[in-house]
Amino acid sequence: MIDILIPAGVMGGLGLALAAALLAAAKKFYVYEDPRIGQVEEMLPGANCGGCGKAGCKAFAEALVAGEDGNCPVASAETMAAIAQVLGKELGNTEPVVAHVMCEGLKSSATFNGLYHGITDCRAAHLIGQVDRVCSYGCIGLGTCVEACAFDAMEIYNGVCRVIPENCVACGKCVEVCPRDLIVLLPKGRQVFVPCKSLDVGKVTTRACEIGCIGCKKCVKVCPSDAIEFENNLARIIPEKCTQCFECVEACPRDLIKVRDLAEFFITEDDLKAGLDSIAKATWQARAAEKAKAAQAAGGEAPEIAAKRAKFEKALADARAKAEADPEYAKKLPKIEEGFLKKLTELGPAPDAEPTDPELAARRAKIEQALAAARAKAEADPEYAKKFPKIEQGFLNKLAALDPSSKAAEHKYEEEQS
Amino acid sequence: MSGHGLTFRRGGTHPPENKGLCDAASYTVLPTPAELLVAMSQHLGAPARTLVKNRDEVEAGQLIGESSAFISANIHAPVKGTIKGLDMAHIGPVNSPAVTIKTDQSAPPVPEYEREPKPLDLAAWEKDAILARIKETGIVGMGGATFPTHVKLSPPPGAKLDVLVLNGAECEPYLTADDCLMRNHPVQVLEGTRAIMKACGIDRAVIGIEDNKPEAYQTLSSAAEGLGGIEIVRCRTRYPQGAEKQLIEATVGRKVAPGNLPFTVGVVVQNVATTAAIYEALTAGQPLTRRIISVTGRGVNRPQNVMAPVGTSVAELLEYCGGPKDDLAAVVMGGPMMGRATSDLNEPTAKGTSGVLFLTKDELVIREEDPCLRCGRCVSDCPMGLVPTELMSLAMQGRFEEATDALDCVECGTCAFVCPSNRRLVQWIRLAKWELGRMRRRAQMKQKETEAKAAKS
Repeated sequence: MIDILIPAGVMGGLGLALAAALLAAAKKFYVYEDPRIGQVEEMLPGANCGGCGKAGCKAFAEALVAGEDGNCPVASAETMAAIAQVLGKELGNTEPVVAHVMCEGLKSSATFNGLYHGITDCRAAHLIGQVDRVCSYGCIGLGTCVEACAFDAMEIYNGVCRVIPENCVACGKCVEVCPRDLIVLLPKGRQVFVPCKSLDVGKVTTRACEIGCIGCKKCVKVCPSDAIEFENNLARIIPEKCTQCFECVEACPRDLIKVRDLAEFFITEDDLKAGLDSIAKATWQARAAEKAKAAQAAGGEAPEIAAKRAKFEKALADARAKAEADPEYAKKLPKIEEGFLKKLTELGPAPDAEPTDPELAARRAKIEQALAAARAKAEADPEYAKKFPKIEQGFLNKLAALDPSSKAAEHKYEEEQS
Repeated sequence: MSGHGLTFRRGGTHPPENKGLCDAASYTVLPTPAELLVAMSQHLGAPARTLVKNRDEVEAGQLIGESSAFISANIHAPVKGTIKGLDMAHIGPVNSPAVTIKTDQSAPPVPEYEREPKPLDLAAWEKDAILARIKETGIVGMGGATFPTHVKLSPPPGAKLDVLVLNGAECEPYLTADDCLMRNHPVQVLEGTRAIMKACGIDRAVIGIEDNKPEAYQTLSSAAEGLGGIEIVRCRTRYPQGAEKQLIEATVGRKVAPGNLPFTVGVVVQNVATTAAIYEALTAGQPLTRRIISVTGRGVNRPQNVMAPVGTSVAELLEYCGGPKDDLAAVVMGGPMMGRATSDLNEPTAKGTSGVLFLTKDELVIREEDPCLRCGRCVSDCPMGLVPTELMSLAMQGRFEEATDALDCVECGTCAFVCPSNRRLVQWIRLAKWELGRMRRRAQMKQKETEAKAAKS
């Protein structure tokens, strides 16, 4: 009997002693960990992608609990809201973003002039220079970003990489790896943007790519809200200022400026051909209808059109004033003037223009015809072109005299009539 | 004069020379091209700041780009003309601001080097005045690295320099531009050498010439007779003898430790073409706006050495040299070992362009890459004592932070040249170097941001 009791007692005693030691150690070395850290970590996606800027999900959870602000690019808005609830505070900017490639030089639009034999890595190819296409700024298309993406959200499509938005969690890995800084994170939802990074002058860009930005500044001129900045031959739309009026989309001669729902969209050949894509088209039409309706209701011009008219008229007056001061510029004036006048006619007749009497209209038409003929002659004959600004001014003065809104002109007209 | 067969000890190779294609006995002056695209970044460091506007008239030698940082260089207009546009020049991965100059065809082309040069009156030149003139005239290392010369000749305080090593090795196959310069203009080279010696307070100079250039060796040796302190030494032809550290070891027998610069062993290295440019800068105030370029390879009809203004397009050189042959397959800026292929014939030449190669399909061996055999040839032949195959594996796996050895690589291309499996070793190592640089820049930026944040709060 004793033979059994002794080992049982020894083992039991040993167990008790060790348990006591463990208990003491646990008490002595106890470290308090905020239970919320575990909770938050559970709620996070666990991808450990590093998109938040921390080493992993655990580190991010610790930072959040410690009171830092931050956003998990992978987690949905609901998850972040739930986490905010656990933490009992507002979390900073949780606007969801998505990666987008700012180059659309597909095989069909970019010009190719070489064969690349090196290793399949965009960074290595970039170090050589232009690789196989003429553009030195565009996508190289060897797929280093595709390899870097842990979420299968990138692929090579027809020579350039594109983002698959439903997979993209905006971790920023591709942004980091791209040697040409072509990938940017843009807010999800509809965006107007210029998918080009070329700083070349227009002449060179035209050689390199069918759609690249040639720096014509048309978009800058038409933008009513100053949302387009222009630097080094490249336009960039500032998302915060853009009101999505699509004036620039219409104006872009290269069909480069795009309106897209970045949460749904990725480029295809058809989109490139279509120019304005479907969202833009529908919105554009709706907007035009709305404008017309508003104009009708007000019995006058829609404010945008009036603003545009005022802008063009001012620009025209400025150009004329400049031409008077600068003979060099005066040579070019007729063309510039023509452009502005064309634009003004496109806007339709000014609503305050009173119905003119037929005689007046006939005279106006006659002068305008003569002016057009003179202009044509000036284009053909450089000698005549030198004199042309003066001649033109004469015609324009006559036209202004015909303007019935000017009282003095009316008076003069009456005098002439009598 | 010193003995034969001097060379560096570790690694290296001897690729087929092909120097006979491009005659080094003489050179011709390119008629001024109708347009020049002069890049503001023709040197290592920050691009110069453009000083001219569109439609400005410029004179030959007028300053058009101003050095914008400590490591930067001035840019001058090579010939008389009108600025036609402010463009971008694409020189490899560098997209640099540039100006297009519509040249005045009635004005004389860039001048040849003086045929009967006078010795330099060095007594009239103060040390600082020489350095200032070098900086003013925008002289950079013309061997290819294009490091601003005035910076290189001003070592950090405390460094004691006692030998000037001049690189006349021209170890790159095909190229004969330096050979041509040494044979035609030995006085400029030697007088420029004396100027550098004075500027650095050195009384010994060693010019290393490989033994495949006996004429250059002879010409310089006889011209150097009576000039104290300048030695001409013959080196055994071996690639990459023209690399700074290898040349120092070959000529003066000193070893520069990895990660260190030559001044740590009391040496400063310059290319022979740079010395000739310095001579001209001191005598005539001529800025660095032209150089001898070897236009060679079997893909061009009349390979030759051409004196061309910077900003000349590759197409212009090709046309001048008789146009392409039918089997032209690649255009390489620089030599075949370290040069960079270009697909753009509009690419302009720059201060560091020592050659433009037009290679045929036969010369351009493009082979499929095979798996690494672990034969170790890249290791035994690497002149820098690196393990290229391991650096390549690390780069392939994206483990750049472990590949810091890559920073010692001079990208000479020996490993890729000797690899029996045709691995693109240098390209991977170059990628690792670039990534390490980018990581460093990003870390610096991040640190600055956190510092700014901390300063705010």
